[in-house]
Amino acid sequence: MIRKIFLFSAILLLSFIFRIQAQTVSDSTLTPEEKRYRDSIAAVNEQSKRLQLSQEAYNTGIQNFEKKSYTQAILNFDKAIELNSSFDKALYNRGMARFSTADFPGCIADMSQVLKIDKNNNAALLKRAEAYTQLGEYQKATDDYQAVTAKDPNNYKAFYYMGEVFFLQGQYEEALKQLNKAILLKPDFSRAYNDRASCYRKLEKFTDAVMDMQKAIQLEPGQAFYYNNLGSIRRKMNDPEGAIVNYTKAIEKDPAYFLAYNNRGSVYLEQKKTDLALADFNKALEINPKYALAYNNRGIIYYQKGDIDKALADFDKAVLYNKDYGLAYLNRGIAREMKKDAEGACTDWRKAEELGVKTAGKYVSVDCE
Amino acid sequence: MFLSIVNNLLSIRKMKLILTIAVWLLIFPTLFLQGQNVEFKSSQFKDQKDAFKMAEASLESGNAFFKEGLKALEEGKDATPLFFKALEPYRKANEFNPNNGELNYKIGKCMFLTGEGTNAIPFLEKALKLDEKNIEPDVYFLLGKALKLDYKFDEAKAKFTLYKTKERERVLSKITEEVEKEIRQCDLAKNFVAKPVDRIWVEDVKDWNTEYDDFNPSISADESMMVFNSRRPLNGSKDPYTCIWSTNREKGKWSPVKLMGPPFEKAGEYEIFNLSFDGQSMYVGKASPSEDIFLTVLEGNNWSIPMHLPDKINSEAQETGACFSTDGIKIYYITDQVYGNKGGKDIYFSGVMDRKLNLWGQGQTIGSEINTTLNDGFIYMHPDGKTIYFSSQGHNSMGGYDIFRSVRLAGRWSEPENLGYPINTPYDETSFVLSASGKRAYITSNRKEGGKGGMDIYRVTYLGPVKQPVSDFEDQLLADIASPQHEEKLEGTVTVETKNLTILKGRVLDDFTGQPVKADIEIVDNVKNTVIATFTSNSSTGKFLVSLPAGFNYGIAVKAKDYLFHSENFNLPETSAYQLVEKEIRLKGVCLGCKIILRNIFFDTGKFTLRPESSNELIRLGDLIRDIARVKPGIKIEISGHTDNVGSESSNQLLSENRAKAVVKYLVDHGIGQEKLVSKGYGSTQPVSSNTTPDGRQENRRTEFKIIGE
Repeated sequence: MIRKIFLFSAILLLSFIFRIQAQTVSDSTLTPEEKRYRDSIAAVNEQSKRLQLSQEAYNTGIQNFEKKSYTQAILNFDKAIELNSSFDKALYNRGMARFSTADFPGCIADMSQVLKIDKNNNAALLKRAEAYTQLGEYQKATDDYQAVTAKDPNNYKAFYYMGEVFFLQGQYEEALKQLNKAILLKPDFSRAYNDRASCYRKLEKFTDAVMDMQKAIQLEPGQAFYYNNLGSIRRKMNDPEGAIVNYTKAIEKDPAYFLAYNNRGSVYLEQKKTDLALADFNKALEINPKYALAYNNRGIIYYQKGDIDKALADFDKAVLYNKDYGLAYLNRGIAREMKKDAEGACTDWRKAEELGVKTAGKYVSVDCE
Repeated sequence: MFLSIVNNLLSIRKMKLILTIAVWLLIFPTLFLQGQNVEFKSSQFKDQKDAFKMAEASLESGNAFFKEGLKALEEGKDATPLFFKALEPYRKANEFNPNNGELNYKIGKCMFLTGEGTNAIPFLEKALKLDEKNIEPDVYFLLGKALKLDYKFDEAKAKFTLYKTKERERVLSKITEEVEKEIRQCDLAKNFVAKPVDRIWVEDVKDWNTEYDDFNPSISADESMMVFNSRRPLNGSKDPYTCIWSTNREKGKWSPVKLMGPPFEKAGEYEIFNLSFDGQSMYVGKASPSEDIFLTVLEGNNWSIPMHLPDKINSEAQETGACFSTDGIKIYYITDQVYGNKGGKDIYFSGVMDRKLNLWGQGQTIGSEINTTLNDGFIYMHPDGKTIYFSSQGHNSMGGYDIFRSVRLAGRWSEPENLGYPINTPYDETSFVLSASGKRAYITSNRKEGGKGGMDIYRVTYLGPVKQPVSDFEDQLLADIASPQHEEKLEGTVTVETKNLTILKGRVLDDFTGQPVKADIEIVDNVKNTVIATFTSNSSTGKFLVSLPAGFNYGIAVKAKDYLFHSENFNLPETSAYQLVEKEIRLKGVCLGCKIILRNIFFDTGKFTLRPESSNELIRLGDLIRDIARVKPGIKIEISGHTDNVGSESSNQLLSENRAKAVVKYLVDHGIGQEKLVSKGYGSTQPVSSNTTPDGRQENRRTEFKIIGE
């Protein structure tokens, strides 16, 4: 036993001595030049460490992004960039994550930084353009998309998104031009057909719109919203039955598609099929209890039935879930008027007028002095 | 036993019968008494003599007022106060004896005639129930009117019809027309109420009304100013007085009402008839000596002393209302003057001839289209200049005064149109003014709904054309909004670089003299088998300094002319911080018996195949032998193999021999003459370190180079 302890102690001592021999040398043995050399190496090592930590944070950020933990990913990319301010990939990825959290100004800032490092980074341009679009800064978005197409004339996505930007500005003819280019470059791009149909619809070229929607459905028959849009085109063409058929197909494709329930219900409402309409609005609200449009429409049914209190309750909900919902304010004003609440009615109509509902403006001028 | 049970059953049945009879005996007299008239006779109240006397006195007191009231009615005087005074003693008497038919009738009649129309119903009905045969037949008429005010039009009509069969002929002949009017009004009211005017609402203006009469509101066309009459107590007085009150409207809100100042501050002197459209003039009425029309105008902030309108307008009769016309030329007014009158109060008009001289044309009736044989009591011209609103008990009134509208078309007044329910009711609606916008009207009514008592002011709000709520539908016009497909492709992951440099500092010295040696130094990455640095030690100091990535295994080979080369294998451990490692390398000269340990020759464990990373060392070894052979052609070298003591001696011996042979074979294969080389295996017999530790055993596993002949 004593021998074993002695042997173990000897091994420990030897290993310690060996370590000492291979380890740090005290400053006193170094010349000034050697100290400077050592310090520079230390600085290099420190920088290397920072780079290493930056890269580790960056990789972790990607993992979190892929898990859709965007906020955590942003924190990781923040760290990566803090440790390496010229880490363009981290800047780009943080921009992507910021976009995913709807921090569009943040996304724009990051992508702009990436573009300072590499002005030919089309991916950064595209994403910045998307962020500008989200913020309604359409001209800047268009500038970025044009910069992409100038460098990459076959980038159909840039043309497609540019078309959407023009659409959002109500420039439907210009939107058509861009979407035509996108379709020319990618003839099986069903989403572009949908958007082009929407342009035709706005331009009241309903036949062209129907053809494009049918093409979109042919290319991608599983998309419920294609049927919904086709239904609404049919509705615009004074074909309520055609509208109902397509809304119903949309519901078949996606039984949780509350928009289609609401839309079909609104056609039933116009057809005075109140019970069917009510059932559809109820279903829409069952699926999405915060769906303002269905509250608005169901409120109308109650109003028409003379149950003003229930109508008001639904209009209240509509504006609760969409505080910028002009029509709901208009309708609540009408219901409030019926409850002898002239002041409340005028408040609602003024709000609706602010939100662009012209009828409300007429009511304000006639009924609210 | 059986008989006993039968007897018990019989006795139970008897008991039940007795009990039933007893209950009926108790209930029946009560029922009988409730439905029977109880005369006010002392014999009826033998046990309550004192109380009876008091009740009888109250009854007599009430009867006195009641009688006076009837007389006043016959004389066409205001009988209301007398019937009001009769009510209090009557109620006291009724508390004592509630089952006297006549008393119930009188209470009901007093209540009806003092404005408590619907409250009279239970008394009148009870009077009929108690003593139908002896009650005055007008109980049916009164009850019909009260039921009409209670919106029970069919019941009311039935009572009026019954009244016609019950009333004495001499009385009935005088009021047949009135009864028929009441019956007609029941039908009209029923129809009006069944089809109320759409999209209006009527509400009493609580801030202006009092328990007294508040009436005849008048507004400027822009509805910024209102004046109205209110009969209410002033300055702590007990009795109410009619005065003119005013209020102004700013930002949709009416200011608190205030009593108008001079010259209208005197209680009971003036009442407002009409405020001009611009709010700068007023027609006011003054009751003394007879009700006449006066004009006052606003001068600065003060109203002028009201000017009496000339006799062409103000007659000896009563002028009880007036209004401005939009052209400012005409005046429409209410009068009961005889000339041209159709009956009761009628609407007249006159035109101004010289305003400065206050000259007006002779007043004349507005026309038979408007005036009726009954009272037409109020007029208002709308700012549109062609529409008049007036109150009338005639036309198709649903009861009392109703408000009518007529439009001047092609020089004639259109047929008056009843404004309908709920503007009009079976009660009296006595005034109506409409804002220029047509959105709001103000009326005077004594209806039972709302109000605080007497006549009250109500606001009518017109909702205008039907407003249809707008339904909504939603599309997803842009695919990118319906189903966002945002680009989510990220820049890819990066390989994490863990560069950590360690400084390798050292000196190369002559092993024998300790003097610095200038030597070529080569650093090899043993894993990748690549030379990563070559440099030379300082000739005067023997120093060298190099930085190497930590965490790897390196081979260092130092060679100098006339020296055996030195090779060494070392690890630079990974650390997180800066590190500096120092080495002193002592080179041995070329001499017989000199040997070097070839640390950078590697074999797989237990095998004798040279690993590729041994090649640098073997090349160096070949170069060294060739260098020495040039100076000493007869050189003889022993390449020996050594093992640790793990395993058997024989296997270690064999392994060491084979490893030495493998090195010799390599050298021979690379141009070294076989005669210069000897291979030898020593197994574990010549350890250079302890075999008890892994590091020691590592040291012992080695290949050696030794000069054994020159």
